[in-house]
Amino acid sequence: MQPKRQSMTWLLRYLRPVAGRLAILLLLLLASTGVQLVNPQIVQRFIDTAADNGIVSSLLTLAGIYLVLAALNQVLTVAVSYLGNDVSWRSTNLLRGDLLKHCLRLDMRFHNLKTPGEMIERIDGDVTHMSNFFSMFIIKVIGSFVLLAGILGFMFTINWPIAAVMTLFTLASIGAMVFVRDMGVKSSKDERGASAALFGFIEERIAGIEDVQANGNVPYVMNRFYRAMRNVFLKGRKAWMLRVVPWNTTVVLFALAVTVVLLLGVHYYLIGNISLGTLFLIYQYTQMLNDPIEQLGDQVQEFQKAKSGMMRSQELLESRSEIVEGGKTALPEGALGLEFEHVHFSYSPDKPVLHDITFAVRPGERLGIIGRTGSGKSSLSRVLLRLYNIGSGTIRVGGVDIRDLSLSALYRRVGMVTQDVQLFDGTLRDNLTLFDGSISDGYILETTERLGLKQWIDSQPEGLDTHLKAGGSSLSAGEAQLFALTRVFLTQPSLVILDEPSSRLDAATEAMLQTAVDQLMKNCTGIVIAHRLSTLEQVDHIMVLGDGRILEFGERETLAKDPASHYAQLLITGREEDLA
Amino acid sequence: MTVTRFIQRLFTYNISLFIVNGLLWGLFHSIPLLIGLGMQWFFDRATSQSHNYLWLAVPLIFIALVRVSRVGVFFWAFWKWVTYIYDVQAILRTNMLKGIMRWPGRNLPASPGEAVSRFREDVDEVVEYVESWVDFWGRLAFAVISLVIMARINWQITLVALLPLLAVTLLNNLSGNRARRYGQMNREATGRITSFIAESFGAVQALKLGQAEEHVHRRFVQLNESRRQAALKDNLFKEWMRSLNQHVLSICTGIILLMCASAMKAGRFTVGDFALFTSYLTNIAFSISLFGFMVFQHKRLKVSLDRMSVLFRPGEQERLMEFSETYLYEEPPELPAIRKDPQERLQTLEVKGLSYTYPGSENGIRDISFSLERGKFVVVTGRIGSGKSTLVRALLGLLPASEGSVLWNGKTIDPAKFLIPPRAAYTPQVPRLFSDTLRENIIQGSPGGEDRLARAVRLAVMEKDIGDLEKGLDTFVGPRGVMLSGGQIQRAATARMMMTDSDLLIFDDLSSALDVETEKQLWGRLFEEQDATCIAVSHRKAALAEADHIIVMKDGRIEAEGTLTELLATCSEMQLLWQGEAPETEEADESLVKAK
Repeated sequence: MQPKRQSMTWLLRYLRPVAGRLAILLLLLLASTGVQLVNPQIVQRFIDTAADNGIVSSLLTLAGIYLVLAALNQVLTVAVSYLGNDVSWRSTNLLRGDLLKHCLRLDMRFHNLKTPGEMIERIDGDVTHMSNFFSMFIIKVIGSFVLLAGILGFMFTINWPIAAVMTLFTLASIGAMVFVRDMGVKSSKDERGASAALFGFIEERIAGIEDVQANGNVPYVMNRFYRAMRNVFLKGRKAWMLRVVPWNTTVVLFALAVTVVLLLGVHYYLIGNISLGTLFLIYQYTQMLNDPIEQLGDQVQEFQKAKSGMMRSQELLESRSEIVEGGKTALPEGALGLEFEHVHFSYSPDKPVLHDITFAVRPGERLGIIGRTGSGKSSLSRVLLRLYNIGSGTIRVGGVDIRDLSLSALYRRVGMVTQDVQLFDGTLRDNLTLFDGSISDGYILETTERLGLKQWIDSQPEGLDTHLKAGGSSLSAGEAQLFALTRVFLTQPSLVILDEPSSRLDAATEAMLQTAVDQLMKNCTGIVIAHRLSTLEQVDHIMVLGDGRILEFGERETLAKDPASHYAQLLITGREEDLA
Repeated sequence: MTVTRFIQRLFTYNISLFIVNGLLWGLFHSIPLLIGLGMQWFFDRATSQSHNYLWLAVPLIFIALVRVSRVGVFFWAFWKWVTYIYDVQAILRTNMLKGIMRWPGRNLPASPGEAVSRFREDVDEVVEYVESWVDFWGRLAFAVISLVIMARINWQITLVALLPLLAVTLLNNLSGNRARRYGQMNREATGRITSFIAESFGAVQALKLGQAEEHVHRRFVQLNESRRQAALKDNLFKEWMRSLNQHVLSICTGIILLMCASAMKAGRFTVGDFALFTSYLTNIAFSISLFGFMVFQHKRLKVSLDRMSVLFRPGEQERLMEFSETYLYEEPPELPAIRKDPQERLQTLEVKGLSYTYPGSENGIRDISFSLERGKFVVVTGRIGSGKSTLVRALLGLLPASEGSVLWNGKTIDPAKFLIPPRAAYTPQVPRLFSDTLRENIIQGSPGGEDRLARAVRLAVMEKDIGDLEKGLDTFVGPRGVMLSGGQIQRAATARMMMTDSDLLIFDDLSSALDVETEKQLWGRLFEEQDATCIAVSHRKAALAEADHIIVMKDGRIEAEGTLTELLATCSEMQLLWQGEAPETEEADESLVKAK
């Protein structure tokens, strides 16, 4: 955690683009402050004129001026509020965008611990809590200080001992607030954490509702929900109570100040130093002191609410992906070769997943990887795509160490189809192109036609514009897998990894698909993590993995002929498709 | 449910807390009456000719005491209010989640992320509404009493103060529709944002690999921008209405000054009266703008109410405000153990004429009938999109069948309510695990104990994986189970199903993530340990060869059914599904078929 001072400055970055608007806002605020300062003086004259039996017409003029100023102040108030809101939305939207982008770039170890519901809280919820800071905080704090200075300045021209007491009180109030302002921060942070957990829980359970319902787990989910809600309640109540302490401190101080000031005022009134109108003016100004100080108190409370959000956002922005990008962007044209050299990898220190993996695939060749569940097949593809860092060793794509490559250069050329297809709520086009507007519909339809998905798309009511509801729940898993294949081939990769791409396809569909995939893979190197032996008929090399080690590596045909090889054993004994 | 009915039920839900809040805040808001009277007292004494210092100080000290005691009342009232906030949030959220869970299958009109915004923003909107009502009583008491006091001083001024109240109420009534529209637009824009965040992070790996960060960011900026515009419109309108209220009142204050002018000169209006008027008028301004704002809020509440009601099954919207236990003040009770009713032990399951069509398309299943007996293994097979999963989900009631019935031991049942543990359990095609430990994901709170857990793990052939995991069963699986491999997720879901000890087990394409050995072990363990009755969707030979009965689906209908041998002899679709698989191993297949 950075020191507090630091935590403010990084936010200023988001105010810079709206500096012009902020300046206008400040001007409007100063104008409104001026009007507020003048108002009591009019009342003072009004009373004094009335007490001196002045003429009615001058009383009416004073009342008229009061009216005009009051109306002007209202217009200013609306303008300040509108502009303040605008500034706040503009700057928080910048922050939201940055947070989203930053989080998307974080490595998978981060994402593995976060639920989408929690991300909503952190990217939108926390920032919304800060939105006040971005607009009104600075404006109101400055505005309040200007108003305070104005009131006290006027008071010094009228009666300095009273003004001195008021200044003392103002300083004491501000001092007290500074002293107690951190009171609610920790508990507010706890509260935000608890509420993020609650919403994360709700989102996950709603997303997995069929799993919950069909396994009779509704009572259990409700039970957990009650616990999460109770936690929010207990944390939240504490946070709320602590947050109102600063404001109430000023109220008490204010009560004391009004009393002392008026007692003094009475004294000077009695000795004839000030008029009745002035006594009323002092009363009104003391009343007015309350507003900016209360305003400051409110802002402190808002700041506490915002601060927990700021701290959480800052933590987020400061978390670095452990994947450090390289600077190289150049990779050879055409299909890319691949080399693994003594690669070791583990998710946690004492459980090695890949052990001393060394092999090479020449450009344009195809490698089939087989091995039982947990043998490290999927991990192999994950480290190749830098979703995780390897422990030691080197991986080269097209002859370049992947650590020296920028991620965008790597992903532009290397594609992967995973077992678990991630679809989201959006149009079919967005799901296929991942929001890349530069891919033409013609190209999408051409690719989908080859992969046999076009017919399905045509049957949708609005073609590519059809909205895919609720994470593609209307899609069968097989169709989803076709989706994933299309997605990757749309990017025309030079090295493609198919991680059990056909695991959820039926045999008839797969046979049809195989031809298309073969055709699409003509111009690239292929790694096929196999599920069925039939998938591997077209590959050049076979690698058999077991417990994170290479048990066997060689040309497919040679291995098939060698009766002692694992592959040949599998061909004979496995007979079947499911050996992966 | 109308808004009026909704708020009636909202207030009666925890009526005692509502009344306590009303009383305490009423006290809090009425205390300024004393301050106003005190100021009048003070200035009247000051203008009188007696110049005794202490005599003048008494009203000031009285005011100071009132102000300090008001802080005490505030803390007490605030404590009660915060408690009430969480009570209101809890009842709404509880009923919403219950409503969603009662409605079988995925029916929400929005993504889960968007639904969360209804749990958050719309519930908060209700809380704000309640806040206004809690303040209302005190504000009303203050307004009425102060008006009486002021009327006794000068009734004309009182009349002037009442006029803007009427004007504002009228104005708010006229602008209700716009208020609603802007509110709705703002809400919808927020919903799109939350939904977009959730969906993006749900598919983060795909987005990363697709290098889509920039594209996603650009889209997000667009969504943010449209929310900014919607929110600004909404806020400006809100602020405009609010300040218009004060605007009218400021003019009113000016008029009062004008009226005072002659009265004061004539000595019918003292400086003390003036102090009282200015002190009361500020507070009345707040009251009036609150009343005006409440009319506006009332109109806006409809938006939130509609958005929350949509989460409920049609006809159940009323249950948004039904009484539910929320367990804020005590730990929720332990889950009761599920007891098996021997009467309900599965003998036969019949499906008659089951049909379902996806809305807005022609895809679906039509007229599906079959039956199975205890201890049988039925496999549903077919090509992609032939309706296998749809069949299973319609059977379970996760999709609402348009026609047809499901009979358990000859009796028609409502599948969504009946086909759950301990009678039936289900593993979906792509199972979802939740961000918890593996243990929690498997046992799901059932109090079976370690023995049952060990058995479930063994039946799901998962013991080796658990041994390999660093923390075993206590491994945190991450959101949607991402820390596990696809096969592990599927077997964890299988273990979860086994844990329920149900009569009928339904697997939607479980075998696609298992290797031959594991799958054989699984079926072997399952059939030897208990007389399990299973329906499995599969296109795998291992499953097809084990099946007692096979149903071949094509284009949403049953193409053929029977044993594997029969089907291979007669059904071309079955031949295609079987052949397409691995032509070079035909001989082996023959032997398998014979073995059966």
